[in-house]
Amino acid sequence: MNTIHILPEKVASQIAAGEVVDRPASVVRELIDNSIDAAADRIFVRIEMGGKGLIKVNDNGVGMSRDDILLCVERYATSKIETASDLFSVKSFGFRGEALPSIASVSRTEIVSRPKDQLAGHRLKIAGGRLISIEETGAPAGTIIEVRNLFYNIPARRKFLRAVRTETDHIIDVFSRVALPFPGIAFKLEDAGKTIMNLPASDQHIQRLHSLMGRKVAGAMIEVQEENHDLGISAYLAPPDLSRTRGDRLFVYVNGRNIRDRLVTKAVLDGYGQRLMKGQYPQAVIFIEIDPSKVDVNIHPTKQEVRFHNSRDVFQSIVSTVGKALGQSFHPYISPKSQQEGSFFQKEALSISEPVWKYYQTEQSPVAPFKVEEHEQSLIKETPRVIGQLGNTYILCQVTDGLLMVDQHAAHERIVYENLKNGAKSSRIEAQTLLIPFRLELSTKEQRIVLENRDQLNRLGIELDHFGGNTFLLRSVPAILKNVEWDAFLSELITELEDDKLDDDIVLDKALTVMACHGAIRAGHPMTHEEISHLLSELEEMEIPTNCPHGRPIFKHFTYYEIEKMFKRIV
Amino acid sequence: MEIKFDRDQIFKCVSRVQSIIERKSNMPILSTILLSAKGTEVRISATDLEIGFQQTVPVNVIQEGSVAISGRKLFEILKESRKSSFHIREKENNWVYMSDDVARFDLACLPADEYPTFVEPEGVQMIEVEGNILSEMINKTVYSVTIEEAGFKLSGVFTEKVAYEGETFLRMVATDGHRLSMIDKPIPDLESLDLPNGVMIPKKGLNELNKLAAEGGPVQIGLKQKNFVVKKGTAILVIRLLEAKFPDYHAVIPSEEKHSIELERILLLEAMRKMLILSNERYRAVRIALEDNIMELVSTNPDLGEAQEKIKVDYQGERLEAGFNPRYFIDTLQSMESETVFLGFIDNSKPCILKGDADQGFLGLIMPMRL
Ligand SMILES: Nc1ncnc2c1ncn2[C@@H]1O[C@H](COP(=O)(O)OP(=O)(O)OP(=O)(O)O)[C@@H](O)[C@H]1O
Ligand SMILES: [Mg+2]
Repeated sequence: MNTIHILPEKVASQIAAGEVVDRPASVVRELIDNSIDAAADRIFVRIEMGGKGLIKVNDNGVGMSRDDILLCVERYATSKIETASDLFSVKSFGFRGEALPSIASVSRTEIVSRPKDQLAGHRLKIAGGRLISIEETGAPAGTIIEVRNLFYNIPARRKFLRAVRTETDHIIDVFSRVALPFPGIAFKLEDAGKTIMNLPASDQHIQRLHSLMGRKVAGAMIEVQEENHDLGISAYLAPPDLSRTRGDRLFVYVNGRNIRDRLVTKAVLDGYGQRLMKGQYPQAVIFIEIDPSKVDVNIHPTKQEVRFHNSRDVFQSIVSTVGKALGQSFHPYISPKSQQEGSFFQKEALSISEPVWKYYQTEQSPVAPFKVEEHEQSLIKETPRVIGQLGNTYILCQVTDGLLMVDQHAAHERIVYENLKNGAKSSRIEAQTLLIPFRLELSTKEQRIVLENRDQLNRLGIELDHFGGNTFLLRSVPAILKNVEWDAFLSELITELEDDKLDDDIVLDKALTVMACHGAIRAGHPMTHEEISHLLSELEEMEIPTNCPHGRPIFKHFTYYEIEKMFKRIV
Repeated sequence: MEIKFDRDQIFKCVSRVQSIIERKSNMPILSTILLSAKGTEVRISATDLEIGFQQTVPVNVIQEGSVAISGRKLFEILKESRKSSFHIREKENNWVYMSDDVARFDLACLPADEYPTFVEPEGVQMIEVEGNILSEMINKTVYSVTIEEAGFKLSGVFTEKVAYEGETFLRMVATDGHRLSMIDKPIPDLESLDLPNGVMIPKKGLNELNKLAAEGGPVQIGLKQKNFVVKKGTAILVIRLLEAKFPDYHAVIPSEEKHSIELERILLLEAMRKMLILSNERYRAVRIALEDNIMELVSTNPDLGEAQEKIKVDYQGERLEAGFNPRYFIDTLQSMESETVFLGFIDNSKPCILKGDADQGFLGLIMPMRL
């Protein structure tokens, strides 16, 4: 059991001030936080009227004594920290002693609580911040907090609450977010007597992922964990093609606390990198476990933002964890053994299975004939059977669990891009000198850019000589580029170089992207069977075969399940 | 139309045009073969609009007229049948009856009057060339033609007349910008061929021409408007020329090489093939180094490893080192016939020159790579 005390003035004054409660969902969040802090393993939430009528949270945690019940509604009354230095190493969700008093001051609140080791519990009633009564009562061990008529005494605030539906949705969202990192705690949410979410305790996140992300997405996510001394990153990552235009499905947790963080979002985006189209956000859950003394949670009144002391490390760890995990997964031809067993012809298995991506499953087959390196275990490669070319633009292939459509230009573009990039890294881009130098006319501005970037262009295999006047001669080109319209290519490349110098990674990347686009097989170009096989086998070796450098998807996969549904063979 | 004929009379011709007729064209008429019976002959025509082929064969014409019959089906029927005497008769509504005595086919055909008109080679001035020579010229140049791709314009072999040392030669030259192959052959009567500025013959047409020429015997060539016309016996091939301009290549042909070596062609070819084993899309270059009577070939691929071979040559000049695409060497060496090839170098930014005594009139150029 805790003992609550009022924080001294000088500690209280250091707490990030501001509005704690702004809508029913934030009440739900604060109350559940308290229950988790109270070590409950069963938390039931009941709401009515989108929380505007009632929010009731019932837990089996440590409970509060009579004194504590009286104190907990006072400002800066907390059992969770004592000194100012504790503020810099917060291990619980709560630390301010602000939530209950804030809630109690804008609602009619009733608290019933009993510590396990006491025979009787107590009931406190408080309305608009004014104590109404405290009495002894029989009660189950734990705490029940009932919040009625939120903002009843502040009509202006109450008016700003949204429709019941909207507030309910917010509550469901908060509930799912908060419950996600605690599979060991049973959660239930009831709306007007109807159970709308029931999350029994288990030892896995996956159940919780389902309710948060939906079955399809959750089923398609890959899981990854990475740990180094004081920082642990674990993540669930959805395939890039399930990305969204908003970041609303990117969940970030620091030591179990759901937060919003631009840095982490950026790191996840960087980790996905080229696999994402511009302006898209992946669906993902990132858990960051960090020494509490290395992160400051006292920076925002709703406790939804944090500041990492060593943000660079955190950033890098996330980028590399995410990047590495994705590098090994979401490969178009990879199909695990387990998948092959449940193949097309096993009708029963098929009709109940979900149409999800399963390429990445990391399950090992029970008998492994050879021992393979760690990262290869997940990648059982299957060579696709080429069906043919559609409209001279898409390659169709049969894979174990359905149809794979590959955009030939995007795919080849990615291959050329990767090759160039690797070449650039080892500064070995092979250049082919041209038999007949290509003449081109450049504007004064273009000339300046070319002359300024000459060495860097050279490194890319592009040798341009000033011939006199506006005329330049293209003497050599990157050997990997074939059948390129050099004028169009160079004018686009020069435009990309305009602002910066080439040694900047970003600009180099832009240059490579332009080169890849021009050097890749066009859509509409007929390909022979060998060319197709060659392309696919090269794609197979790629680390990120899901998107072209512009971010367009390279392939689209249709499972037999989806196809069968399409033809109404199964419903 | 109604004809009777012997299988062998037309089978060869029908199978030859299979590579011309379009299988999946959006113009169905182009997948047909036109059979036109007149007098004592049937004229067999096939075209894809870029290339047209026609041949007349004597048959028993019972009734004159034309049918446009599926080229593929006609070929398959002739191929599967072991009978020799055939009968084709036009019925109403574009149906054609075809039989080999035992089997009977009723074939849905297309209206013959929709068949594209053929460029009649009447009045074309033609000269006679030995088929084998023409075939050799094609074989030794066509591999340097750019693989056809949207927007690229060198996908043909440039053919022109050149005169030097008091003789006139027919020249074919092809380049993809990285290499060039050129061959000159003296042809009697060439002066009378009307070929003022040279023409670009597309690769597909050359392949058809090569089939005719490789059979040996004399072939007649000439030009009509924008078409290259070839006659051999009763067969006529018309190839529509490419409009593209061939670059001025004369300046890039080195007047003399600084360093030169001779070596066995097969030896170099095999060495290059070995070098190719460790090359891929990204790293394709082979480094050639010449020094102290040794020609060293090395291909280094950070992804795969390294290959090296040393060949004894007669070379005592300064050390010379240059990178090349081994595939280009293989293409050229494969097309050559000489036992000994002659390699000429200038420096590592200028092309390598390939020639051979038994490859009269041939010159290959391969541009180096920067490593
Ligand atoms: N469900 C509960 N079970 C047991 N004790 C509780 C419960 N809810 C609140 N308390 C006690 O009441 C105190 C005040 O809660 P309150 O939420 O106001 O502050 P806090 O959790 O300490 O800090 P914060 O304002 O950051 O949430 C807590 O410190 C805790 O001791
Ligand atoms: Mg709290």
